[in-house]
Amino acid sequence: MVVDSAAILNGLSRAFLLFLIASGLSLIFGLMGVVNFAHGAFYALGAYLAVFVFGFSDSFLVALFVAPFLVALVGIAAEATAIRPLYGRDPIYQVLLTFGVSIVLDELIKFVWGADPLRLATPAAIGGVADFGFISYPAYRLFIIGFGLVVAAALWLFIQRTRVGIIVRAGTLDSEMVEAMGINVRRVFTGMFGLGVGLAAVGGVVASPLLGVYPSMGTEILIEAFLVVVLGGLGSVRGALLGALIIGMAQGLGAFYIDQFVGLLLFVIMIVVLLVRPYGLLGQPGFVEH
Amino acid sequence: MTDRDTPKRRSFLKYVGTTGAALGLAGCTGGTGGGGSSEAFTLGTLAPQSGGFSASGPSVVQGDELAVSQVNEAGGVNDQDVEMVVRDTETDPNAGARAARELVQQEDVDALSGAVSSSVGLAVAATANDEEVPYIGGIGSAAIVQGDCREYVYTNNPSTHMVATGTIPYLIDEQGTSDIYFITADYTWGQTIQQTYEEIVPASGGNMVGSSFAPFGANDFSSQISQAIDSGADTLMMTLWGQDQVKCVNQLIQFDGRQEFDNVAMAWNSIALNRSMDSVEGIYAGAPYYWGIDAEPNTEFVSAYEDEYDEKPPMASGMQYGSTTSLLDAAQEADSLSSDDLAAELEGWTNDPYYKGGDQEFRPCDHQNISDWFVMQGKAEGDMSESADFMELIERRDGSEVVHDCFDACQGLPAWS
Repeated sequence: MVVDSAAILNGLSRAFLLFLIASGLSLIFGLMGVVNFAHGAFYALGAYLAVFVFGFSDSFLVALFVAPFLVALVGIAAEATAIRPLYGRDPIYQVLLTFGVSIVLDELIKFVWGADPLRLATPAAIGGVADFGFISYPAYRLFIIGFGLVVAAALWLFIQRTRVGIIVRAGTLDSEMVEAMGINVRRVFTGMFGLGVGLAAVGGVVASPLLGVYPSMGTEILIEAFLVVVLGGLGSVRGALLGALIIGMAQGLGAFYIDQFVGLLLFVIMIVVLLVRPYGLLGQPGFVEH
Repeated sequence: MTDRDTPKRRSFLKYVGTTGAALGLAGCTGGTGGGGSSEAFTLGTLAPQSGGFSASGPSVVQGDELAVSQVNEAGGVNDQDVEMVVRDTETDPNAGARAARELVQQEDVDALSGAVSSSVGLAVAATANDEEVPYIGGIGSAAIVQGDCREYVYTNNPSTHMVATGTIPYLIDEQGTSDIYFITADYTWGQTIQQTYEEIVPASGGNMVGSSFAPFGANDFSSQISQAIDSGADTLMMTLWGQDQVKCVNQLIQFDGRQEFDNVAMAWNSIALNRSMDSVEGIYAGAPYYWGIDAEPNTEFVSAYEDEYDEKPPMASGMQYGSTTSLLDAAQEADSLSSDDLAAELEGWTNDPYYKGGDQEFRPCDHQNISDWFVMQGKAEGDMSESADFMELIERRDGSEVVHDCFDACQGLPAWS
């Protein structure tokens, strides 16, 4: 039936949007143990910079690649100057600091672009509705699903198959030992922080044509991103994908059949999962403590 | 160093001395005047300068600033320039109430205005009434005069009943609407409007073929839109606030949903939101204020606003300007700085012509302002002749047609007349 496939596609497009944001959050936590409260602000910054870049280039594709790159540079600067001195301290310092970074970025956004919402139009090439006979569905949402799959695959290959990926995985398990092997873990940390917030920015750019560009967008998405990451298991990119699929599908199907209870449904899922597996679906016991 | 310090210190002391003497003098005159003609009227403006509705903060302040400066150019209140003090509500009820109390106790304001959002408005209303200072609620504050019947509290914002009855009967009578699907905000504001829809839609000859709800800050409207399209309704009515309305319109356009309905309507319109919508072409919208209202006082207001702030007045500015102009006119009319005299003057206060043109009244039974409701239709991008020219006014509905009956609960009101 038409109704069902639309609800499933709604859920999938939501899931891959969440994955783009949550994967970076999970990556940063997994490697550095930093709970990045500024992740939402970097997501918003990505969207605003995309509007800025689009203004020059008139191309969504250029904005999609350039804006996250700029955000990654901001992230690298923030890590190198503010977050780095706090490694090895109590995590509460990092929480306070990243929260502070998010306030600074939020105010900066309002200072530069103002408080009124802006707009990043759907790219014309994928603006219409794709018709498959049995279902017609917005092409842009199909693009989100496809793009999310590509990013997930690329991230998996990067972590599993490249040299940096090996260092990242090793660093996640025991960063002291990796350092003892003569690898500059600090530099890897900085790079991965850049990659993580860059992914948040990619999420921000991709979300803009659906949700608009407005100052509180980062705060709104951050809660859902944390939900995904905690559900999937802190520090696991695969977990982020699984968590995003569960939350996204619950939202997509839930909004279709039990619209007034969706908010509740998400937290019921969360409670059940945490009761059965307190470390998340694909997380490892004791991981958070180290 | 000492040489340079001495003269500075002396001039400082001199300055303090003069100011002190001046203050003493002012205090003295005030005392002998007995609340008389020499005191300046002070307005306390509450604006969300931080928090969830901070986007409206500047609009609230600008609307009040313009009203105050125009009144001052015309001679002020009580033969003195009106002073204005602004405080941040942080879009939070507790912070809003605290700000209101500070304005009354520390700044000694004669009246309060502003606050955006009903929860903040309710907290400010309770404080204002306790402190016995007149308060006209700002945008989103309709609830402050419902149920609690406070003698010092007034609102200029249309009630949810006015929002619900403003647009739908027009669509049914004039635009051939019969089967309506509703996408409604799932919190007090939306739910209350939805309840009124359930009464007025059948009464006006329409059918409610389905409804779905979206929580505040919902990001994805795809399910609601898919269901609306599948419902076979000829009209889609969206009752959403702020950015949620933008998301829903843009996602509707991505679904090619505009073509699935004869009529698409928004219960509440704002030009700040129209700006970030992909297209508003053909979409109906209701509002208590739009800068394009064709009435001379409004045209004057719009050009004064544009001269000052270089933009068309958004709804929050227009509403705020209206409230504060009424407040200051009433204060001038009351010819007294006593808050009881001002509150009594506001009850039943009519302004004709009001800045929107036409009659308006703070009706005595519940202090709700009754003013006209406007139905508009979105223009195609090519037809917009200037900035913020998003809508065409197509219908002006008389306030008395759309307003709810007086609440029986408010036995204590009218309090003054």
